[in-house]
Amino acid sequence: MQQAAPQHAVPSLDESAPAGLEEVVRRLRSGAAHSIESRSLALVCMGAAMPAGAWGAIVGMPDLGVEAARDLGVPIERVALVPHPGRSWLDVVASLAEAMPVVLAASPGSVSPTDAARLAARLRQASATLLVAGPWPSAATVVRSVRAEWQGLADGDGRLAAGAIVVEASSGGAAQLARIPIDGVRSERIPDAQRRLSVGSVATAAGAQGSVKNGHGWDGGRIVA
Amino acid sequence: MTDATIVSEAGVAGGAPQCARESRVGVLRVPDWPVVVARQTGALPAGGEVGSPGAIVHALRIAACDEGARADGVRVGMRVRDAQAASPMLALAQADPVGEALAFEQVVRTVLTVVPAAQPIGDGALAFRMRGASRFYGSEPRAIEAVRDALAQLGLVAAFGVADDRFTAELAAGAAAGAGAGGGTGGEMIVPGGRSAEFLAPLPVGVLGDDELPSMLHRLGVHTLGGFAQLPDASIRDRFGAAGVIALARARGLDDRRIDDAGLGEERALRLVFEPGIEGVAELALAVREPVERFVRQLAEQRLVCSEIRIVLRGEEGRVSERLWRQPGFLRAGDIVDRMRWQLTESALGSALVEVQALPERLDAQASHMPGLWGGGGIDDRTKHALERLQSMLGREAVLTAAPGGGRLLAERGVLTPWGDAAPIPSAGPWPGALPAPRPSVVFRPPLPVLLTDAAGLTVEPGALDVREASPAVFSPPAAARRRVVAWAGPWPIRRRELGDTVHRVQLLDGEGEAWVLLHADGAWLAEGRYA
Repeated sequence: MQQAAPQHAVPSLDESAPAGLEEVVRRLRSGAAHSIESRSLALVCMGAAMPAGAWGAIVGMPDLGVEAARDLGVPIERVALVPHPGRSWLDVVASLAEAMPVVLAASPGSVSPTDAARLAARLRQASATLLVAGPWPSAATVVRSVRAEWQGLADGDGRLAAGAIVVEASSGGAAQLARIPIDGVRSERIPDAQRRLSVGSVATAAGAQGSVKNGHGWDGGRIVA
Repeated sequence: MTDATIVSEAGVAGGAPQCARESRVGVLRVPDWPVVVARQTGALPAGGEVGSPGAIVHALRIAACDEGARADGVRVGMRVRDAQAASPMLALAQADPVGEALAFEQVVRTVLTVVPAAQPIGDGALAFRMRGASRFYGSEPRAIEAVRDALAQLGLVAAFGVADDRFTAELAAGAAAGAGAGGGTGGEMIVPGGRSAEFLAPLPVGVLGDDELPSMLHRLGVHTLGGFAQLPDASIRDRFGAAGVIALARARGLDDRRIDDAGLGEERALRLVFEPGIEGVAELALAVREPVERFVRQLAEQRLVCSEIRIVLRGEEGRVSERLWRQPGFLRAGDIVDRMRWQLTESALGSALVEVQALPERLDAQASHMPGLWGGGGIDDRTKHALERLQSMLGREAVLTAAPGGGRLLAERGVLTPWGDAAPIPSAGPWPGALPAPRPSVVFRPPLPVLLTDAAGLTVEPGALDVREASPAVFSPPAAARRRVVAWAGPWPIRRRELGDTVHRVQLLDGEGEAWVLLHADGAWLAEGRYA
C-alpha cells in the first residue's frame, strides 16, 4: 500500500484537505484516453467532465447501476449506452468519441499498443475525452484506487451511509493522492437521520485505519484495500 | 383590389421576379380565441355587455384576454396578480391548448364549406386560398363576406387580412382586428397584389417573432421590416443562418408558405393503404417514404414537430402490430420510415401488410427543437447519426438509453430501452424498501449466485440474521475466492406483491474492502450489486 507516499508534498490522508475531485478532473484533458480504476469515480468524472447539454456514451457496462450513475452526477437522460460492443469495441468507442465530448468505456481487456495509438489519434482529432474504467495502455492519466472507505455498516446494524475512494492520480509526473466522496448526495439530499449516522461514523473513523473490530466496537468501516 | 392586381405566374411586376405569385392568401383570425372557447365550454362565465371581463392563464401569466379585460388595462404576458389588480372583476380560466385546437377544427370545417382550401395556423387563425374564392364570389371583399356569413352561424366574428403571401396576410388580419375592434364586425384589410413589401415596410421588426432576431436587429439599429428587407442576403445568412434568410424573405413580402389542403381539418395522422399488400421491408420503405415526407412537411408548416409517434401496421389477415416510438429530439421523415421498417421486421403479421398508420402522440412547437446554432435542446445531428450508425451496425437493441424506473430492486430502478424507443413511464412511488443512496455502481442483471455462510460454514438464513441468532462470516463473491465478512447490515425485507413473496436484502463489506448488496430469494443468496 502506498498511502501517504512521502515523495511530494502530498497531504496526508487524515489531514483536513486532501486533493479533491477538481484536482483529478483537471488532469482529464480532452483529446486523450485516461484510465480510472474505480467505476464509481469514473462516473463522477464523467458527470464532471460533460459539458452542459452535451450527450455522452457509456460502452461495455451491461451491469451499470443506472441510479448510481445519476446519483454520481451523470445526466443519464443524455447518455447512450452500448453495453455489448463485442469485437467492435475500438470502432464503437472511436465513432462515439467523434460525436460526443465524453465517452466512458469499460476496459476491453487486452488492447494492442497499435490499436491504442490509432484510437489516441482519433481522440486527439475529435478532441474528445475517453475515460476507461480499468487498465489502458499509454493512458494520459492513470487514476489508481488505493482503497475504498465505506462508513455506516456495523455488525448487523446501520446501513452503508457514506463512502469515499482514495486514489493516486498520475499524468506522467509525480503521483498525487486524492480522496473523493462517493456519497450519492449529488442529486438528492441525505435525510437528516442518515446524516447523523454518517457523521458519527466519520468522527470515529479518524482513528486507526484498517483496524476492524468485530461486534459493537466497529469503528466506521475504514478498510485498506 | 380586384383580381386584376394579381401577378400572374409569368409576372415580373412588384419587384419580385424570383417568386412567381400563383395565389392570394386570406387569413382570418377570431380575436381572443382562447377566451371564446373558454366561454363556450363554461370555463369562463358568459361575457357580453354585462358579463365580467375574462382572461386565460398559462404558467401564472395572462395568455389571452378579451376586450373588456383590455379596457381595464389587462395585457397578454402580464402576471396574474397584476392583472387582477388592474381588473378586480376579471374572471380567469386555465389555458387548454388541446381544447382550443379541437374547437378550431369546427371553424376550419365551416370555412371549408365556402372556400376551397384552408389551413389552421394556430392562435385562433386560419389561412385560406383566396384566388378561387374571389373568382367564385366575384371579388375578394365578397369572398370575405361569404366567409363572414358562414362564421356568423357559429356565432363567431373574425378579422380578415388578404395579401400575396401568408406573413403579410396574417399581419393585415392583425391590423384589421385592431382597427375593427369594438365595431362588432371584426374588420378586414386587403393588401393589393405586389404591395406586400410596401405594407410591411413601416412595421416594427418585433412582428417577426419573439426570438432573438428582433432584439439583435434593434441593437443593430434596424427597427422596421423595411430597413431589415434592405440588408444584403449574404450577411443575413452568415449572421443569422437559415432562420434569418426565412425572416428576410418574409420581411420582403416573399413568404413562400402555401396553403396545403391535403388532410386539413382532419386528425393529424397518416394512413396508407396498400393494394396489393406489401411483403418486404425494402418495398415498405419505398412505398412510405414520400407520403411520410409530405406528412412531416405538413406538420412543419404548422410549426410542429413530432417527438413521439404511434405506428400501427395491419396485415391482410387482420393481425395488427401497434407500437409507440420516441426519439430524443424529434422524428424526421427518415426516422419515421426507419421505425416502420423496424416494426415490420419485428412484428409477426403473418400476412402481407395492407395498412400503415402513423399517429403523432406528442407534437411540440418547432421552435424548441431548432437544431444547431439557434439554440434548442435535444440532440445534435452528429450524435444522432453516430448512434444510428451504431444501431445499424450492431442492431437496434445494442444502443440503449437509460431512464429512472419504479421498483424496489436495483435492476428495476434503471430502465434500459433501445435508443429511439419510447421509455415506459416509471410508476410513481413511493417505493418503501428501495435502497437509498449511496447505491452500487455495478448492478447485476440478473443477480448472480453467491454464498454467505457463518463461521461454521453453514449458509445463513435471513430469519436467523434478523433475530441475530446467526452472523455471516464468510462470503464467496461471483467467480472469486472466499472472503471474510468485515461488517454487514440488514436483513431488510422487500415484499414483492406481484409475486406474493418476500426477499431480503443485506449490505456487507468484505475483507478486500469491497461493499456489496445481496438478496436472499428462494432460499439462495444472490449478489444484486457491488460498490465498485
